Formats: sequence, structure tokens, C-alpha cells
Amino acid sequence: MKRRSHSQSVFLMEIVLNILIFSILLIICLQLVMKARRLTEETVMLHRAVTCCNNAASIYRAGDGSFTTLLNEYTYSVDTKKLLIIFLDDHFVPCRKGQHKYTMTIAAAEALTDRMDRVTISCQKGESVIYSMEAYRYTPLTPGLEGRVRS
Amino acid sequence: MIRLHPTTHKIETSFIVALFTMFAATAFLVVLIGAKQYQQTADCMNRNYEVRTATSYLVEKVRQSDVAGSISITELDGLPSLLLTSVEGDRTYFTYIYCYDGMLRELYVSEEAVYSAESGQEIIPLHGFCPSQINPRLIRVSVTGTDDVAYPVYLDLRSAGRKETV
Repeated sequence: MKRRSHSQSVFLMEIVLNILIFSILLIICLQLVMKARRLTEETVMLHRAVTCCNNAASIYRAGDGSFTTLLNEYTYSVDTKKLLIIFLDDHFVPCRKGQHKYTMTIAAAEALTDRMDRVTISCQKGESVIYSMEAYRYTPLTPGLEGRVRS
Repeated sequence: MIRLHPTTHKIETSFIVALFTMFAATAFLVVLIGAKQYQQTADCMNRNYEVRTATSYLVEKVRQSDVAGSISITELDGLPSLLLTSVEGDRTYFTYIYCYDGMLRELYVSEEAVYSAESGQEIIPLHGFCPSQINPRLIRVSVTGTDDVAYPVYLDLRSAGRKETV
């Protein structure tokens, strides 16, 4: 009887130890899985933010240097003379204010030359900036009737 | 006393078995959760890869062919497509980019060739592709990924001159 009891207590200890080791490994594994998931979501978010900023830069370059073309494309945006605020939903698709999860701001920066305009475009989630870039718009000179380009 | 011993053993054995069952069940659950998380992460990365590849491909193709008058929007077998025209020597070639049968496709043909939408080379899975001309210098392409979300891509054409004569 004694030997049997001893053997059972050893078996119990083994199981308790196994559970302990398993719990530690479980915590580590779950942390790694969560980290992998967070990294994936951050990558997706960064990629979409980059695409959004590039889209805004393309629209700006195709326009006349003002926010008019941007306002036509981003209907629900808010224009405060020097700053344009665009609201984006969880898929980074433009949406109304209040339904948004992210925002994209386009700020007019000081022009580099009289033919080179510049804006700063940044995409944010709350207060934290996901991605920020500068877009330039150059108005090229083309030869006139005289065939000369004034410098 | 004689009765007590077997009962105690029974409880001990039951406890050990219950503990082991719990251990096995938790291990199984962890494997299931891990597999599900891995599947979700892989799916998310795949969807992102598809949209990213399609948008990067479009942008690069347009940049590469950005010559005055060479980029337009047309239809190929009734499908909306982006048409890139290139002249090599004395021959004109067309590159159609469109979505057919759930795939983004590219078709490169000479102007005399006879072709159809299914002849195009498959690029990446997509559920929709809809280009539209916003103004002479701006094209908007709505790319619908396999998650059925439409992502807009704007392409500015630098060759479509902003004429300012001096």
C-alpha cells in the first residue's frame, strides 16, 4: 500500500510539474502569437497609410497647387485654409467625420521656389502618426512662340 | 479504516485523471487557438500582399509608360481596362491591364493581332478593377481585393503637360 501511494504522489508531482512548464510555455507562445498578429496588423496599417498618402500626393500633383482637386476627390474632408483634414474608415477608405478611425492631414508648406509648391501629408491614428511624407508639385516651363524659355 | 483506504485512492486517482484531462484539453485548445491565429495572420498577409502587389504593379506600369497620349482607358471584350500604347520602330503595341475571371491580367499585343480577354497573362487574384479618368492628368483605379473591399489608387500622368507658355 505504501509503495503504491508513493508512486501515485510521484505521478501527481510529475503532472503538476508538467502543468507548470506547460503554463510557462503557453504564456510565451501566446505572447509570440499576439506579437506576430500585432506586427501583421501594423504592417497592413502602414502599407495602407503609405498608399493613402501616395494617392493624396498624386491628386495634389495633378491639380493646380490648391486643395480644389483634393476637395473634389475627398468629399467629406474639412478644409481650414492651410490644412485639409480627410477622414478614413478602418479600411482607409474616405468617410464622414465620426465614422472615421484614421485621419489624413495635408498641410501647405512653404514653397521651395516660385514654381515648386510643397505640402506635407501625414496619416494618423488618433494622435500617433503612422506615416508622413512631403509631396512636391512642379510647374514646368514650356517654350513659347518665340521658342525661348525664360529662366 | 479498512473502508477509508480504497475511497482515498479513488479520489486521488480521479484527481490525477481530472488534472491530466484538463492538461490535455488545454493543450489541445492552445494548439487550436494557435492554428486559428496563424491562419488569420496568413490570410491578412495574403490579402495585403495581393492589394499591395496590384497597386505597385499598376503604379510602375503607368510610370514606365508615361509618354504623352500613351495612357488611356478603354474596354476589352466589355471589361474596363487600362490601355498603354507604345511604339517600337514602325509598329504599335498595346498593353491592356484588366480584371478577368477573378485575376488581374496583362495582355501585350501588336495592333494587327487578334486577341480576346482570356489571352491575357495572369498577374494576381483580384475581384474588381475599374479605371476612370478624373481629369487629363489624373486616373483613378478602383482595385477590389479578395476581401471585397474597393481600394482607390490615383495615378498622376506627368506627361499630360500642364502647359504654361512663357
